[in-house]
Amino acid sequence: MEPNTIDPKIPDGDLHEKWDKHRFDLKLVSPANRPRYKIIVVGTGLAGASAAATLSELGYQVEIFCIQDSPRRAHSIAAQGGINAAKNYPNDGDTVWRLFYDTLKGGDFRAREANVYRLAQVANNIIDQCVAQGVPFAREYGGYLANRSFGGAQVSRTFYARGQTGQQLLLGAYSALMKEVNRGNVQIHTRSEMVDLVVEDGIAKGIIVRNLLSGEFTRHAAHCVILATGGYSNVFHLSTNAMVSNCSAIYRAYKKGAFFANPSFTQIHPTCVPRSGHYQSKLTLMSESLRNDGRVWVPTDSEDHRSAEDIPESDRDYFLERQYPSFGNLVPRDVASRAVKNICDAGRGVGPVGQSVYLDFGTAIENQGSQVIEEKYGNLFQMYEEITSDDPYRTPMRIYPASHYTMGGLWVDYNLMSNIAGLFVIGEANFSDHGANRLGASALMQGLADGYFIVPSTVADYLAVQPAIDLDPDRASFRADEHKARGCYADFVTGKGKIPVDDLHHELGAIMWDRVGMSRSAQGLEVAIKQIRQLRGKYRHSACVPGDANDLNEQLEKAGRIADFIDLGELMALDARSREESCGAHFREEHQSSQHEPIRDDTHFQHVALWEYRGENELPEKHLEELEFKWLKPETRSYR
Amino acid sequence: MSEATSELYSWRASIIKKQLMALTGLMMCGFLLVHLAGNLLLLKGSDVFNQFAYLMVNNPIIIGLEWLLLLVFLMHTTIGFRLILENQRARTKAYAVRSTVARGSKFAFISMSVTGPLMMVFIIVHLFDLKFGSEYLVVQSDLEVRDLYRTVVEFYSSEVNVAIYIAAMCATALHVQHGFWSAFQTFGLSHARYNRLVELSSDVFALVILIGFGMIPIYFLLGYS
Amino acid sequence: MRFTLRIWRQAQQETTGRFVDFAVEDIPAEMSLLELLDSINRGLILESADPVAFDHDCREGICGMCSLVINGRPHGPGAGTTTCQLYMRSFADGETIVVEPFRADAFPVVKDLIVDRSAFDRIIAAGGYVTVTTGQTPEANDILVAKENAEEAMDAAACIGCGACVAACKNASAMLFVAAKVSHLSLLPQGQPEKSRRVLTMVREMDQSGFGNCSNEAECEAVCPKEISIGHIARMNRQYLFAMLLSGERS
Repeated sequence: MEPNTIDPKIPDGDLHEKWDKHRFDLKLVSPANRPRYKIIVVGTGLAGASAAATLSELGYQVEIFCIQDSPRRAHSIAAQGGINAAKNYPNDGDTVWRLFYDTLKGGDFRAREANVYRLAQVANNIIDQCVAQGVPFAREYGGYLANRSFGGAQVSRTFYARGQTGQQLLLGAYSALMKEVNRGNVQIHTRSEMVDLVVEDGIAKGIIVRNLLSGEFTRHAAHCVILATGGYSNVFHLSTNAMVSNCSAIYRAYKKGAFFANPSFTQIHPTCVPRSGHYQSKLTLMSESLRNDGRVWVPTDSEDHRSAEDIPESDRDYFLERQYPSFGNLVPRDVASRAVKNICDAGRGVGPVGQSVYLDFGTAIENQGSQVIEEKYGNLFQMYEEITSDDPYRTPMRIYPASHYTMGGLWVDYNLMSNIAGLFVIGEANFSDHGANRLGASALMQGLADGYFIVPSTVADYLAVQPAIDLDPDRASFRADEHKARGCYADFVTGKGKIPVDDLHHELGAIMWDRVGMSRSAQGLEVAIKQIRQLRGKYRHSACVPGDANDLNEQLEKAGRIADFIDLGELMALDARSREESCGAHFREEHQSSQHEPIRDDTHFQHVALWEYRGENELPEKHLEELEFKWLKPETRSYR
Repeated sequence: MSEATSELYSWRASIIKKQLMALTGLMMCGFLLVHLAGNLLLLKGSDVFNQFAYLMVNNPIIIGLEWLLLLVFLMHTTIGFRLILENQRARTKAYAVRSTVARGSKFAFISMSVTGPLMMVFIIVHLFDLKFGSEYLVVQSDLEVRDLYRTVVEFYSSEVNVAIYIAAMCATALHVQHGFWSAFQTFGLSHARYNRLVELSSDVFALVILIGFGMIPIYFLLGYS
Repeated sequence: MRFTLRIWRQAQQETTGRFVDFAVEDIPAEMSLLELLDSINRGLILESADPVAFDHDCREGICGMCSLVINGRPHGPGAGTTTCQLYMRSFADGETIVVEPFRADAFPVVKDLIVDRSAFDRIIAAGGYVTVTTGQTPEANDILVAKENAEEAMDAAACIGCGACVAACKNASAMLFVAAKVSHLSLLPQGQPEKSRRVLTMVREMDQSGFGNCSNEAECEAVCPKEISIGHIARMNRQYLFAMLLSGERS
């Protein structure tokens, strides 16, 4: 059966003018009417906080929800590097067009042209906005903003605030949000988890929320719902995401009919502090800039157990330099990550669990002196030493790839509205702008573009035709969804299992990492799907959740989230299996050249894969959104 | 919490209370120096000291300043006690284990809230011992004056009195060592380049108080009068 | 390595709590303290007992969610780190480690080691921002900021809102947290127009939340994971006095 084609509702006209023209065509809600509309925002990261603050400024009533104890703790806070914008302050030839080109090419031509162009256009406004809020960006002595370069671009267009850009941008958005709280226009619900989306006749009407302190369930109705709940890298168990980052909000919206787009597009970051044991809860990312001077190697002989300093040059295998002579240690994230994983899987990894490779600064220190190296990487070396107690000036660092961003997410049209009317999805939670691979310093840009500038305009177009009727969260649909959610959580605690849910998460992570991670094959995916289904069965019968549903119960929260991760894991594997090409972060072993270069198939797969939920024991139905490239011709990435 | 229901600022704000403490504290530091200068006249013998004491109690400006000092003292103690109470209310459940490392570690046992009340008790006792203590009269240069010198010498002939006095001076030195520096911080007079200087001045000031006040009773106890 | 963890357990805000000892063995030195708590919890779950509740999230020292007073020190031994960056190699083999919640009446215990720090959100809501709406902005480079001011503002803005300053202060004062925000914004030209109003409203909210008064003992600075200086408190003190005496702000 041929899949349906879904229309993304991209406005007509010249690429440069689409967004301006579209904004003129969008319907407006008059200032007097705005207070009669209520908007729910779920998530308080860059996208959620900026959207809620802006919508409140416009006069809408806003209710915002987060699972942490304060909106300021959302995981956007951990982004280190910076935020891109085509200001061209360094006068090095940057333009909106170049930012658009780099982002689309970086995404391996699997993103929507019109969206990416709009993102590049509004990026400059983001910098203006953040500066006005008092974000302390790095400055030159003259008082002007400083820029630095970042992977995937030949211009310096990244704005930064030390290694804490995400934190500073989030605190900017948080302060804007708190300003609106003070005005009495935004109501914040902290330690509150959305457990279901209420949909009536294909229209989003509100959400069901569980209070994480009391276990109490509440119903919240609104004229539209905006999900800004971030990505799902924790499906791999260990990732650079925070412990509570989860997929449940978007996955439960998917179960209510929202399309999930490109779920298999997940990005792996090559330079993370490796795992030191089974107990490890989290992987920490270190800036990729380390690869500018570090050389990656493993001992030639896998039985070589000498400490790194004692291994002579002749017994070292600088495998990235060997396999990719022209780019060497600077091959892109996905290529480096795959090479590292292959070496470790072949039993040649180093470290206590054999899951890491050396990143050696010996040569760089010899050539440039340790002072230069300290100036460049001092704080990263310090961070590494804090975690591992190894001194990278003397012993080589050990690194291993970790999952850290998901390009996939709920499908949205040009207006960032999903196929469920009134359900908008912004930030990492949607699939929109990064295609099959995201460039560094682009995640912050997209979150804030969606929240400050795009969704506030497009929401109005939707609300303008909705009657501003009084909302009743006591309607049958709300009651039914609350009843179902309540029952679901009650079932978790009454189960008689013996396996802690964390252990099951661990198992899921191992399956996903090995077969649905950075290198995938049809055969491996088949195995993964089978294993995930078995795991789901095991979960149902054996998961152990102690305690009470009407209390603060972290295990119960996890139980719900991990159940969704298991289901999403299968969806990811199905998506990866059906995309029989290699593109961006998605690498299919069957689709590579003799030189191990990925082979993209634009004839058959120049599309977004949309998955529609069909029921508990049914396979999801696949739809397509064909991608058209009118302005840029897809080209091939090569790094040899 | 709208503007209408609550003043934008208040004389009861924590920072203002601290600044009043700092202001009154610094004023009393000034008094301590004048007091010390007067005490040193004890070393010059009874004539000079008694003359000085006579001038002090008969000068209307000094009498006015004395009333001001009383006001300053009352403010410092009342606000001080209020701060102690507020601070106790801010943490009603104590830690089982507590380790301090910064300035607090130096004051772990003798903090401002301990030395302060001690000093208050001492000052009251001190006034009754000396200012309102035994009255002797003596004729100096055809003028009948109070022989305060004799009162002092008699008082410090007791080892117990000297011991209490020295202990009180230790408390005072600790109090001003933190208080003097602290007053600058509380008024916002802080700059990386000069902070060390202020801290040093604070230490020197405390030492001057300890040695200056402390040596006089020892001098008398040892019989040099 | 081998340890005894003496952990504070308290079922609810209203109930009285107590210490419970957990003896653990064969602990790798590379394990973090939070991972050790995870593993203790795993044992409790297998016994169908209630795991120890504690706050944590990013586990890389930036979200400010983790708390804990470890052997009398917020975020444990070590300077410039959070609890999640604390590894067992920082302790002596066989040591008894006392783990308590942050204690301050403005931060009531919610359960076990979790406290309610929403007072911080209220303080920020009272004025910890530049009142600017989306779109109402000049071109970014129209606002010049001296490099040293930008750097110092960044030092203060690095605050993660964990509350260790309150936990360490013998008076449970929130001055360092409030000063970090007041100082950050007052060092930048963007923060000037509402500088006086900001310091007045934020301090008022701080006072109303039941925090203690500052005694200038600098314990806050010593435990701050981002090593924020009490020089920022001095700046706030100065600004408050000027705002009260000289500014045109009226209630």
